[in-house]
Amino acid sequence: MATATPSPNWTEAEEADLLARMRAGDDAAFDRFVATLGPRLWTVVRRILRDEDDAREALQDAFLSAFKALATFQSGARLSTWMHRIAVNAALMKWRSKSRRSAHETTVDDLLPAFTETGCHAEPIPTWADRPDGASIRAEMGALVREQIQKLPENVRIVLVLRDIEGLSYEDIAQRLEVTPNAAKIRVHRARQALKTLLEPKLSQIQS
Amino acid sequence: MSCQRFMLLLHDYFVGTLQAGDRDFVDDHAGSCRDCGALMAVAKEISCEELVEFLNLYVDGELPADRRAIFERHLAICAECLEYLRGYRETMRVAKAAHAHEPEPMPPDLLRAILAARNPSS
Repeated sequence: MATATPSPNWTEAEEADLLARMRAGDDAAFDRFVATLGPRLWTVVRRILRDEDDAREALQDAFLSAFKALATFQSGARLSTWMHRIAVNAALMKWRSKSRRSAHETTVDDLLPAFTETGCHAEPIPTWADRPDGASIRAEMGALVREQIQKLPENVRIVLVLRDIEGLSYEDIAQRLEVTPNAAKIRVHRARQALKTLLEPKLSQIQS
Repeated sequence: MSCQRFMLLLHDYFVGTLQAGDRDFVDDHAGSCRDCGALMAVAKEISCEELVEFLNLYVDGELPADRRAIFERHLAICAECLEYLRGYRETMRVAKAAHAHEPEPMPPDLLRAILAARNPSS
């Protein structure tokens, strides 16, 4: 799966020009770089970090790291892709430092489906309202979905954001969270199941 | 008539709530009717619990072909697992769609702070 890179619609020539100007210390080039990518990356770090102050620090750290590393940036890669990776890493570094201090692993067992001793569904499966594939969802429903995602335990919420919203591969998630790829897959699966359970009573009331 | 009764009892057979006499009927009928026997064989290939446990691998297209075929045969006869799959995929879709247009703008002072931190002496 491709990473959901924020795309500023720069051509390769524009990127090369911007890079050269930043390497030469051109203030206007830095202004453009931050003003263009900043809002997109702010959204990314806010998805990962619930706390606004943490997100501010992470985004600032990300840009300062990138400025220092401009000399080693490999032409051929896209600046926006590179910057997205740095921002995700900075946000996760902040997330990990917080979660180490505050949280133990929380399970979502109560939100997982139940089965009989013979392996059948123990309860009826709620029917989801029909929505056309690819249909956009209303703002009201979008806010509701984001609110339910925020209710997930941190160690579960984070993998859902990285995989299903930011589009990272399981290998990338595993590396960044220091777990095996298989553990990352299982955690993403649990996160989707838990979110499904949280959404079921809500989505029967709101149509897209 | 026997096939009809078999179909009516099949769900409870797998849930484990049938009386002994009805269980025997289901087993006997599956042994003597080719079509119902084939259905029974599919139903016994994999439980709903096992399918749901590994549903992510099915959705992500990571199952080997033979395993995927077993999942698809089960989904063809199990309305509950099919509905679970539908809800699972819809959950993934709305989670992504809910983040497509987030209203929260970047704080203007943060942009200035980043640029100032680049060159603190200026």
